[in-house]
Amino acid sequence: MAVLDVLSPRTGRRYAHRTKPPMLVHLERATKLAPSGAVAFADLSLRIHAGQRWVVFSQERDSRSALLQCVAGLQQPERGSVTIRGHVSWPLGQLPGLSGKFSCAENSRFLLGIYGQRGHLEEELALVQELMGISREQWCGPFSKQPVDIKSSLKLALTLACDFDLYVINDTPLLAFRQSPRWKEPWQTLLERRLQTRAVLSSGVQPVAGLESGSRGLVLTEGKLAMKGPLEECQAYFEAQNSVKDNNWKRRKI
Amino acid sequence: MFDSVRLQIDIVRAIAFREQRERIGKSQFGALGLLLEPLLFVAAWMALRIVIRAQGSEFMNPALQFGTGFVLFFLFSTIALRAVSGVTKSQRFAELRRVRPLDVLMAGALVESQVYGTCLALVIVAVGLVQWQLTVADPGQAVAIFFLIVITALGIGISALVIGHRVPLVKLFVKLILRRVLFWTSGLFFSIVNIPDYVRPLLLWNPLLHGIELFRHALVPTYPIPGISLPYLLVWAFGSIGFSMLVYGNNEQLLVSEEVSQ
Repeated sequence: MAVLDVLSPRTGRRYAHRTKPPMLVHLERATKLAPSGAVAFADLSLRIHAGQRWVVFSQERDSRSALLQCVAGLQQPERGSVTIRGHVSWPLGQLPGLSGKFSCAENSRFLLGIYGQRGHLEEELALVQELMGISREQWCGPFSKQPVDIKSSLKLALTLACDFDLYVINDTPLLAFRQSPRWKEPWQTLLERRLQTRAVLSSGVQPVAGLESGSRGLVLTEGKLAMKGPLEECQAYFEAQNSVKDNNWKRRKI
Repeated sequence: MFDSVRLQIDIVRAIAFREQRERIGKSQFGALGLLLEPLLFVAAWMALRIVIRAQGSEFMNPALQFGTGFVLFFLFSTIALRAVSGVTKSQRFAELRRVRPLDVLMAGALVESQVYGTCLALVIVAVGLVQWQLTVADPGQAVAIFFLIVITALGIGISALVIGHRVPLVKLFVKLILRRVLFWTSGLFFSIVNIPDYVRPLLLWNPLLHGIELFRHALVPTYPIPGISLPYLLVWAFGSIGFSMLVYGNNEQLLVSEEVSQ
């Protein structure tokens, strides 16, 4: 499904493209090291266009995390380049710019003032408050004193409330939040709307529900690109690799 | 083009909102503390000046004269010194890609303008209550001069910061001038009309002196301002901000300070 409108990072307005979907992110022969010093990914080239959905498979959490950080523009690769032309979210569940001293309301107002749609600040604040489903005291209380599930829900709510061209999804916090009692129908509706109409880069061992069809995948094995192609094929390749590894490990143990 | 300007305004306002909340949180008296601190500082200097020389100015109320001078000077020096110091790491919001260092500096200038603008208004109203007469003859010009001073401060600060990275002596020199030299030569303690003719041309190079004297003249039209020129202030304001934008374009990363904020 092609998405023809893109958010301009300069003006904050959406505009339509009448030709092929514009490129949002371009990694060119990028190499990134993990904090441990190991190679997270090496010589990786990737182009993400508007409307595309990508899933990254890798057993190494560092590789997945480093790739998401580079695509989101939070880190730079040691070699190669990352060009970001669109409006890219931060990795879901990781929300920069929050201050523990401020309340949820003040933090939301700050971030939505920067990333929200112009003229819709109050509506977006109401949406975030509705998604979180917390009391007024908690909404106006210091963020640092809130329970962990409220902090997680605020981070997710703010990410989904802002209208990005490309959503970067680290599936671990999302899966954890889906199992919490706070996950209700409005979350599911908003998440589906975002996944269907915007580009997505997701990572994990399993693809996020909603991304199964029409997506592309890439498999990273020990930092190297092992496969890039349709999601089903990449998933099958990744599962086959894992089962081979498991069998080898069991044989060695015996 | 207007959309990108409006977007930047939204970003600057959001950052200014956050900075205001942070400062209110740090202040012992909350929102009132934001005003009390600069007001008490200005009042102390005013009292010192009036006590040392009991006779005030014959052209306007001494409290009004000294109060406007001090507030405008501290507004100018605070904005310029912040700009010269750059954006600290905690202010940078590096993870928020939409936020540029210039946005942080502009937000800081906006907050300082709000604080010192309110202080200025309070000084004028307080003097008006004592005299039973509000002394603001030309409020439009007063507001315009206020903003020209803000623009000049921001322009000088950013220019000094960028040039100072290539020539470190420039940064030190500008800080010295802002902290010491301008304090004594910007008309805080005197009126330009009282300065001897042979010294006046030297002082008239200082754009802040023009700003402060023009502001006083906007409040009291009979306040004499020989040699003071609005076009000179305009040239400094738009020249400095234009030059700073020119050098900023290619040197954005230089606006980030290496210092850790406290």
